[in-house]
Amino acid sequence: MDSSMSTKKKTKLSVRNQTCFKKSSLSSSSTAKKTTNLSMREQTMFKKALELSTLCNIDVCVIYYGRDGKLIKTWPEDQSKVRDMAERFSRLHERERCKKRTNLSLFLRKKILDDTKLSEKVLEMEDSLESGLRVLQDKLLLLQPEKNQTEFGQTRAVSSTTNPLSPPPSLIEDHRHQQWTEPLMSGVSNTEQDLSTSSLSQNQSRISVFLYNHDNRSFYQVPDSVSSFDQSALLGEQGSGLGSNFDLPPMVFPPQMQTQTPLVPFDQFAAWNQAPSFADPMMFPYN
Amino acid sequence: MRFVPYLYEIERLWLSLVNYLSPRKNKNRRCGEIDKIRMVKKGGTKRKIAIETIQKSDYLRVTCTKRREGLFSKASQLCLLSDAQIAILATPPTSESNISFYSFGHSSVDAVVSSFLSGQRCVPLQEDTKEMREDVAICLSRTNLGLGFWWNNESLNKSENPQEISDAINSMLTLLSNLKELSGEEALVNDHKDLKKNERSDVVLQHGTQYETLNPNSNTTTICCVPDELPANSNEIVGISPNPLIMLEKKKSQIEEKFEKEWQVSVTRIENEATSSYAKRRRSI
Repeated sequence: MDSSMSTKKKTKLSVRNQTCFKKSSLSSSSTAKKTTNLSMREQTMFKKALELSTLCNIDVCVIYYGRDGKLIKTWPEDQSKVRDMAERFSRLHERERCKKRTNLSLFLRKKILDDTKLSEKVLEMEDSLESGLRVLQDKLLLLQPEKNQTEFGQTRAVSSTTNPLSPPPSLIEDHRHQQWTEPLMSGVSNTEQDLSTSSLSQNQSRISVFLYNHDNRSFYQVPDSVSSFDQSALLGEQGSGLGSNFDLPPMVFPPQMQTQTPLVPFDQFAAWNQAPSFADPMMFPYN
Repeated sequence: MRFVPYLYEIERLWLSLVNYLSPRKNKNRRCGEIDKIRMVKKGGTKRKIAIETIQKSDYLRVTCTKRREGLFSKASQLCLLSDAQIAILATPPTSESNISFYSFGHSSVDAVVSSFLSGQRCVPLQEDTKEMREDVAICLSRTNLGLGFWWNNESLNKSENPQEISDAINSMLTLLSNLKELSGEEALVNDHKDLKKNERSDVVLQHGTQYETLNPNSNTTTICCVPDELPANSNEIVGISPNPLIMLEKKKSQIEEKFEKEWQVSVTRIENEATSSYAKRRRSI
């Protein structure tokens, strides 16, 4: 019986597909195809209602609303009969109504459990569901990291804003190094050792400069001691330079620096880095 | 080639004559009148019955049940395909029944009937209701009708809205858990069938004397299987019709009774053997 039923269903479906194909060739529109198919299904349903009522000598009524909520059709056509039956139904007590009342979900569930090929269909559905789930989860993860990338962009912007703060002290330091390297070049064999020490001191001074930036922000004292060592080395170099090039006119300015630095070297550097307005009067005597 | 149509005509006439001479043997016919005998159709022996009231009450009840289910099935297909709302009411075949109406409805019978009586429109259904999405039966039925799974929908795959995608993922997880529940329910039904088979095998074994000793083992195994599986399934499955559980309980009680009988029989047998051996020793001494 089951095999015959399945063959019947298959043949019916194939027949309808053929008819839809023919009509679609004429009208060549999918909406027409769907409407013809659905209208045929509607006719089938009403026909089966007629057969049931006639064969079993019972009262049957069908109320059919469309998807937009309009009442499309009722069977029987005479709405008074349908209304009578509906009123009888509504007049019943809730217990009486619940007996033998099925929903789309319950009806389909019962129908599916009777199906012999349920296990195969369940496995197929499960596989499809899991694969679809993975695809969507990956897609969701792709959408979320885009937000993270935007955050990274913001951090980069912040870092770019910090960049202009660092060039001015580096430029100032470069000027100082240039002044000191010239007299060292004119020296004798001792000057070679001085060159090596000057290169080391330059590296240390650069390191000290960066540490100063950190110190200004975080106020660490350890970089202060490192900076003091560099200052003593620099002072020694300045003394030697002065001895070798006493007659040069541009060296008139360095003695002022020497006189100022030993007074409060730490405070001077701190003021130099912290307050640019304080540095401006230092620049004026040069001009 | 010329003789083929003649043979066909002869066969057709012969069959019609046979039907005419012996109308009672034709079980498919349900009309008593001789005048309504039909000629044999070409191609096959299946035929449709006349759409008239069936006289025999047994045939009438069976036909009513089957055709009602068929009507509900057609209505359900139409609901799935066109998102329509349908209510079907049918009276029972006999007035003696304790059931007032057999009814099918989507979205629900009460909603459709009340809107019809009030003369207003039905509230249109949302296309992707959460309940519709997460129902395993509806998804499988849509697959059978040729509509694909909703999670393979192109619009869903192309959408860039994370909210929509997360909602879909949640629905899919719920659907997956419901699917496992359904598998559990199917396994329960299969266990029920297996219990029937075991019962039959026990009946067969009881006839054979050689296998008497094996009966308690088989009974114990059957008894051990049932309580281990039942609570797990009952915990997982939420909505089950009470009938299979009640039947399972009945089967369990029957099996326990059989086990007790077998136990008593074995106990009496052992006592008899002991008394006989004791008597032998007394005689020897």
